[in-house]
Amino acid sequence: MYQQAAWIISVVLILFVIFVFLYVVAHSGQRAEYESIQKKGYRIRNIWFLVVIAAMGLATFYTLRDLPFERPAHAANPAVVQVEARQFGFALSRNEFRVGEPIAFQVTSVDVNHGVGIYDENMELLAQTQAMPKYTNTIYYTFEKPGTYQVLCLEYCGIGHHVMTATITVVPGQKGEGK
Amino acid sequence: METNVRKMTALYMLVSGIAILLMMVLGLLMLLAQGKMIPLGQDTFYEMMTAHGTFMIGAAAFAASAVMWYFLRQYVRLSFPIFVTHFVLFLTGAVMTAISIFVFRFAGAWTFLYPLPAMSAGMWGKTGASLYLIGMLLIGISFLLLYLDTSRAIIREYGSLGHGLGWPQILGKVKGYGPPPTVVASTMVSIVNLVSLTAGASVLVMSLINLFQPSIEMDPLLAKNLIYAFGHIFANSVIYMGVIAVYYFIRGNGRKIGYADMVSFWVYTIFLLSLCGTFLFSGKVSAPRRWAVHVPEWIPYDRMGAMFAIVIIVAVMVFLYRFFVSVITVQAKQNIEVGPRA
Repeated sequence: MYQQAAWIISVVLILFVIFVFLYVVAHSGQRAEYESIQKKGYRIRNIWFLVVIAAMGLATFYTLRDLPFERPAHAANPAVVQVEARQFGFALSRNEFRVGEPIAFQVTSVDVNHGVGIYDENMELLAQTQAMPKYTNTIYYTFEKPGTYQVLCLEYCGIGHHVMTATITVVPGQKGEGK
Repeated sequence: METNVRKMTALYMLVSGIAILLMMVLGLLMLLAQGKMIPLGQDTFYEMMTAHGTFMIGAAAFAASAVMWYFLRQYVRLSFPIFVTHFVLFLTGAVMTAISIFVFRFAGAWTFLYPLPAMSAGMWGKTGASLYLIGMLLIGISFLLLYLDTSRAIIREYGSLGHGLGWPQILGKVKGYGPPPTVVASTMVSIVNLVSLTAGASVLVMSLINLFQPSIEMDPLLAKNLIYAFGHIFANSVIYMGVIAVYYFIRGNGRKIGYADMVSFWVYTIFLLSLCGTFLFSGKVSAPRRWAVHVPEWIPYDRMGAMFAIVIIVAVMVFLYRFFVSVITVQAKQNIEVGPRA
């Protein structure tokens, strides 16, 4: 959902910037008194500044809460999975899960920086974090559909970067858990 | 003096123009490889990726710094020897990084993310890594020198960097015009790049120490933050330096350009936006860009991007050819008018 939203918002804003740019180019030949334009421009600028601050502030507040880095309230006792990245592969302490089972992936690396991106069967990114030496980063995730998921490395880590994958299998949950 | 300045600025443009064209070709080759249209070894792919990331930004910033220097010079007193030093140091650093990549097979990407340069999984050795890091350090120092000089000159002329940014006007303390757009943009770029280059130079030195003395380690998160603070701020500053020329031309300055330039400009603009669109869209479908091999889901966007890239390269070639010709013509005319030794 966020990828879709980000795509649409980006395209709209890019088109807006292109429009502003072309408008300025088309009208750059006109000459007028500076003072009145400056007054009007500063007023527009003040309003624009407040609008952008408010919009970005609200968007940040509401979207940050959906990031997979904070344990969600409904996942009181998640299954803890150790993910160890190395050149060029992942070692997962467990790679079979049930639908609806809250999971905490504790991610680290034994050599260089890597990334851990969880992809669904359509190769769409669901959640990701960095695998870093000397750090453990946790992603909280609950699979909603059964199927085969891929883990891809998302930080360039050397010549085998693109072969660095792992597989996760998600089986239908018990009664009352998911579908 | 004026002739030397013009010659030097033209030299900056020619060197960076050729470098950018070459890097565009590497970019095209990588897209073709991702789109499975040409075979490219994974090691070659990542070497090209390292060169592309380093020199696209490096050459763009190099050209943009000359644009900034050339226009800023009309308002403040800048040092010509520093301008020449910047050129020489940059080229020395660039040659070193090119050797590290294409001779010593360094493929740690422009991000040289600690501790990757020291842990290549057998692809490159200490020589390649240290040549790359030292080359980058020289490039960084060359820019740092230039921005120290522009900051010094702006402070001398306008009193402070704050005045160079036009803050008294923004805060309403002083009515009327602020400093010219060139000065405002140059002040902003000088401030952010003094910070970004210092961050970059620090982490480069620390990486070099770690390379030869592995027991001296640094915090990987600090290293990453310093590298991205350096890279992203520095890459962004290119826009603000380039904008100085846009302001100049938008106000109706500059000579009339020919039909061929006009066509190649619009072709370039439209196809570059389209190429950026394919990158944006492959981001939306979660394709990792820095993968030598792409899965079938991502390939259509690579192929589309490659087609756009071919058109862009043709447009840039027309541009560069016309620029070469005009520089040579101007040079020849001057030689006839005042003699070659004037």
